[in-house]
Amino acid sequence: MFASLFLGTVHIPPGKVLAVLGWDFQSVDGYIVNGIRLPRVLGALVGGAALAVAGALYQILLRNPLADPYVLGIANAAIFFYGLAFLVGIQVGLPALAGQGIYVSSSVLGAAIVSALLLALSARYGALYVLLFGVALGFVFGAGTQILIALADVMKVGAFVLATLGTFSGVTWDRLLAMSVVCLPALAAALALSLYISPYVLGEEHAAVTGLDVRAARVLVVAVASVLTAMVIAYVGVVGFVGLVGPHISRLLLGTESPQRLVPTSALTGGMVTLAADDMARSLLPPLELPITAVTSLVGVPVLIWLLTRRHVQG
Amino acid sequence: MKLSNIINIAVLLVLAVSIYILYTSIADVRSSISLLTAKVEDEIAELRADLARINSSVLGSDIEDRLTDVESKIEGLRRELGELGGLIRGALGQRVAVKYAAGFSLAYDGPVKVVVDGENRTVLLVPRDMGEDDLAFYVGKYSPDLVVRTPVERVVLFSATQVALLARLDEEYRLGLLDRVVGVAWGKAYRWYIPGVEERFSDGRWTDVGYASNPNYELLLKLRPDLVVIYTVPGYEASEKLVQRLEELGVPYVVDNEWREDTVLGRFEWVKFLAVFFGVEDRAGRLFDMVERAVLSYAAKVADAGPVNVAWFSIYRGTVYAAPPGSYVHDLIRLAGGRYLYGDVPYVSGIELVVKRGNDTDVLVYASSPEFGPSSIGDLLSSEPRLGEVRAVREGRVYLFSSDYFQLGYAYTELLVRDLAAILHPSLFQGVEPRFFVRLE
Repeated sequence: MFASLFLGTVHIPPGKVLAVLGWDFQSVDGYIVNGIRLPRVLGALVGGAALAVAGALYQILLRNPLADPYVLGIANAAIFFYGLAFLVGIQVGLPALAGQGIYVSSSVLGAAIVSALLLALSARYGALYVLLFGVALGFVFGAGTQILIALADVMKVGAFVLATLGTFSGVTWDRLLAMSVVCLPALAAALALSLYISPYVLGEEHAAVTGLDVRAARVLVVAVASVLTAMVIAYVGVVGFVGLVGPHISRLLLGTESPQRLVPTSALTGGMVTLAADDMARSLLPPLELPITAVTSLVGVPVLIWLLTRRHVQG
Repeated sequence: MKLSNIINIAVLLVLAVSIYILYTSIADVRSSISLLTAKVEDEIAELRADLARINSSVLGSDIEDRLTDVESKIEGLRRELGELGGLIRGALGQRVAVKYAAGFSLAYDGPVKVVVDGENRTVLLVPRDMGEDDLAFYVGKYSPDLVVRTPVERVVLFSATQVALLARLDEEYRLGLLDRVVGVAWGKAYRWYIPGVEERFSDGRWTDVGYASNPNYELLLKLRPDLVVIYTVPGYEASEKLVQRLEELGVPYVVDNEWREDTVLGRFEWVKFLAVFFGVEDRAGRLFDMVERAVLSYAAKVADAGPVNVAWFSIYRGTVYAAPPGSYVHDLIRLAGGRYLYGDVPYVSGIELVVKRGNDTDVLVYASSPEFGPSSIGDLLSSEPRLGEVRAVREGRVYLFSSDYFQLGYAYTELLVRDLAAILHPSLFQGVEPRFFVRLE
């Protein structure tokens, strides 16, 4: 994390970074370090942790290693409702949060609607169907977004596409605070939930046998994971792959499926992978900044493949 | 020898050379006319003799052959008269040359015009009444990708800027060019700012053929256009599909890629490209000359005023989308007496750079319009608080595009240059209210 403060599109000598860190918001270099890089680094850690924990929760609930907020359609729904607010002007009112309020509430609403649908369907058909329904709903909301784009003014479409591209470049102290106010309690809730759903390690049937209220578990998991995903999309945009690769790296490093260990470790690996990706996004081709999703894939995939092949060889 | 004497002699020499060139040009035309006249007279005399022989013939068995011979001679005469017409048109000054644009070319050959369009396709423009033999001759000579009979009467346009350029020509010379447009690829994707356009759609004179990237081909074919003017985006799949589909359907299309020009005048010069298909390139040439003079005069006015540092970008989530170096915008800023602060930066960069160069930024053009961009400096700072580190923002020298900038700005290039020059050097343009830029309060 500390190393990330030395990287950026503007070169600032390490000694200068250390000299201004934490107090100087007046000089240009001080403002770049404290006003731009520091909230960005913290934002990448919080956002990455949120996405990876959301992915871990879904993977535990569904006992499916492919589950993540994007696969389940949560992200597509959040983007669709973001588009409704941005492109059509249909706004879902919540008090403004650091200038992003309307988009935050719209994204959360989208995530909540899909989550409710998933829960309703899974209550009737079981957890396995959550994945299938999620994929299907993802396509539906993806199509909805395409229709919104087709009908919207071309100038607005450009801004919408740029606004949904994931980047931590826009994380200011205000937005970090607004995001953290929701994400940190949700992460804490996820940690607590990981203890509650530990019987899921052997599947939902086994969990039910142990006396766990599986319906309540489903509701809680989907609700917490949806909030985490929606907050990241609203404040940062689409950041793919972290929800998938974060839990996998944790699982391979730990060698266990235990939820109470997987969830906290995923927060760490998700945060670190996202931070590393963001470092690369802003320093590989300065002053060009690459899209974060491209880099999370570039960073995450080799690590994942290396871990998988190592485990295969050891096995 | 005094300098003034040298200048006088030089002027006299230039005048003498000009007179000589003019004299030889006129002499060429006159000698061509004389030669052709003599030839025509000879041919007519021969024809008379032929007719006399036909009349006096008792058997008449060779009448068919003689008639064929007469017809071929008449056709030869017609071709020579066509060439004469081309020569006369050239002598009368209807030819225009391309000075700045890099994306198309225009050449004349007797009665035909040869245009190379934005995709390097050769397009042969021939008069509507040109005979098949002559057409075959010129097609053989140029092997064109497309032959267009001109002036065109049923045109479909694919961009609002094309509509704007024709509207400007109509406004200046009352040519009625927009009356020869039958369709536009619009798709209701944006609002119109060009006067009269919405009425043309609502009363049915124009048909909306859908999105420019994916038009409704059935509607397009139903319009029976004699020319479709498209634009292309390299590497963009929809663009490649559009071209492929038009080829398959045999729709006559040309590629107008004005947006790829790197210079302000180069971009505006595409007015000649459009005009040539309507046969009014002489008017387009006159309009271009007028705009060129105005642009260069504004540039000359600010040349010694000292450069003003200009930033030109928009920001989404802290990512900066700046006008790329060496672009049309870069040239516009240069002509207006500015120095582009992001001339070394690719299209996308980070907010750190904006802060680093914040104190050097005299003027910020925020690349958005009042409908889609910030409504005030407070609004701008609310969406991106770190712009508070930019001096132009602190001093209130932030400008947006006017709502009609993207449609009309390029058709009124001289006003664009004047506006920006006035923004950068207000003391030299007192009383000038920018037409295409809006100051953020």
